[in-house]
Amino acid sequence: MTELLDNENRDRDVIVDVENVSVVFNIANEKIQSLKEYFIKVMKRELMFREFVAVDDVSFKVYRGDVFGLVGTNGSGKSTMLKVIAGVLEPSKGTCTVNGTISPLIELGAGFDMELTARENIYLNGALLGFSKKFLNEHVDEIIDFAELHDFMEMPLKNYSSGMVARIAFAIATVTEPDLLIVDEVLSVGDFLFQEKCERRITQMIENGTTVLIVSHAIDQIERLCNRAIWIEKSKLKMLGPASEVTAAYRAYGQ
Amino acid sequence: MGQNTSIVNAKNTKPDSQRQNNSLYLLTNLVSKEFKLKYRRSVLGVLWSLLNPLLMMIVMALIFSNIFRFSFDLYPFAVYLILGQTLFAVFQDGTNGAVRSIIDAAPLIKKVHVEKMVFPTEKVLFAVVNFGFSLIAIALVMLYFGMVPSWHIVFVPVLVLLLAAFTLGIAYLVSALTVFFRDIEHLWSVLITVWFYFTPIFWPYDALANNGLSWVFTLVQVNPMYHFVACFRQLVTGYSLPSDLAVTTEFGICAVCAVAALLVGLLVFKKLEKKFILYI
Repeated sequence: MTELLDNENRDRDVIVDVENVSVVFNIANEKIQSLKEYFIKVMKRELMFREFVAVDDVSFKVYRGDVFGLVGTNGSGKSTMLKVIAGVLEPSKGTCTVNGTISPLIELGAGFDMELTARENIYLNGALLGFSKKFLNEHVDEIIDFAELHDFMEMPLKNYSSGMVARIAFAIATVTEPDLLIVDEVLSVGDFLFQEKCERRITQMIENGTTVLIVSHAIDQIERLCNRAIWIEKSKLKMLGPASEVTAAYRAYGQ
Repeated sequence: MGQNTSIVNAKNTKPDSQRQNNSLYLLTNLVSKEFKLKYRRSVLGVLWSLLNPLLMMIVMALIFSNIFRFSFDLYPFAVYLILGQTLFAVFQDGTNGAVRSIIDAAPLIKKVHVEKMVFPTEKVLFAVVNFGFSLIAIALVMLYFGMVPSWHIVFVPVLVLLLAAFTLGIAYLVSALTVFFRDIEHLWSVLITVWFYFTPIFWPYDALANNGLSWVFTLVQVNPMYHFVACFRQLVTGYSLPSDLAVTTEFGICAVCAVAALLVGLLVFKKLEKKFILYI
């Protein structure tokens, strides 16, 4: 498969610039997580590491206003790539530069404490995302309005359904309009009405200049929402180009 | 290995102080969360922060002053007990809480770029706040025995600050190492128990001397917690035991231990934190 050159975007702002990024993990042949094992292995000189290349020399640029999709089969390096972009994982080689503010849509439950009420969680999660107290005080009603969960605000989150939790997570992450919004398979939960609402909100953010990065196995969703896409297969960049062409090629790969 | 950089250029470049403020706000949020959760749905609520050391002290006072015989007549033994026990609790609770703090925050660390140091720091802060409540218990016990605190008590905040720094250092160290070796979690709970017995909390120096174990005391003196506890007792009661050093000397030793522990802890944590994500 050939890599498509996309010159059409040359004149727009670069939001994410991934240059020759490789991520190499040292996987011990056996997972060693205890001191005793470690010392025994060191003594016996059995401590062997196998290098595993999760992302291999991938380069691409995401421009302002793009809705950029990441596709690829399981274990091919999508999530690792996303971690590099989110700034939680350092690439072993190459550079990843993000120009602007990032707002990640957190995985269900992560960053929430199930014992706390929804309102308390909004403050806790907001603080984790780097919002100030003043900002949260001003926007808490907006978040509740968007999630449409007025009657459940004082209820501990453990009594919530996963869809309700997703509503709150989405509402918090999208309360500001960040330069880059990372969406990782979150849209698949929640009822269809809320999914539509989320898509509307994302569209609105795109119109206001937010760049969106979507990772999903729902090819239809990538095709519908994205304008550009990248296909990462077995750690390597397989294809980069307009979303319709990439998804078409990816579909064909499966058959 | 080639260049490895992951750069986030904030467009509306926030000054560093802004980020610090956010970390601080996150820290207060986490501490208040811990407090809410600890006492939620308990009838006595925050009162437990005060009742806990009080009840422990009563049990220990009953056991140790009646069953084990040693002479202690400078001031009520119960006061001796509660002072040592509450101060040691800062170190014990702080480090015990911190051990798992990074592992427990794994879902977050994997997704969001967040200052990882806030998690162990929060546990230590929580222990210090709890100590604040136990001060009421100490006041009650001293009131009961009609003891007047020494004016030196004004230096207690400085000592608590040093202890917090010492505890932070150890907390950073164990929380970072636990990511790589999960046995540290179990090892630490044993170690802290040994440390507790090795610190003169429920036994005075006399208990060793009477049993011909004076040489053990030489060992005890390399234990930083001994100096924190001894200093705290002198500051609050104004009495010094025959084995005590001068308050200023004790302060000096505590300061050196605190700075050393904090430096080592910070260094190890900063060196290891980039690899956390690969092991959690």
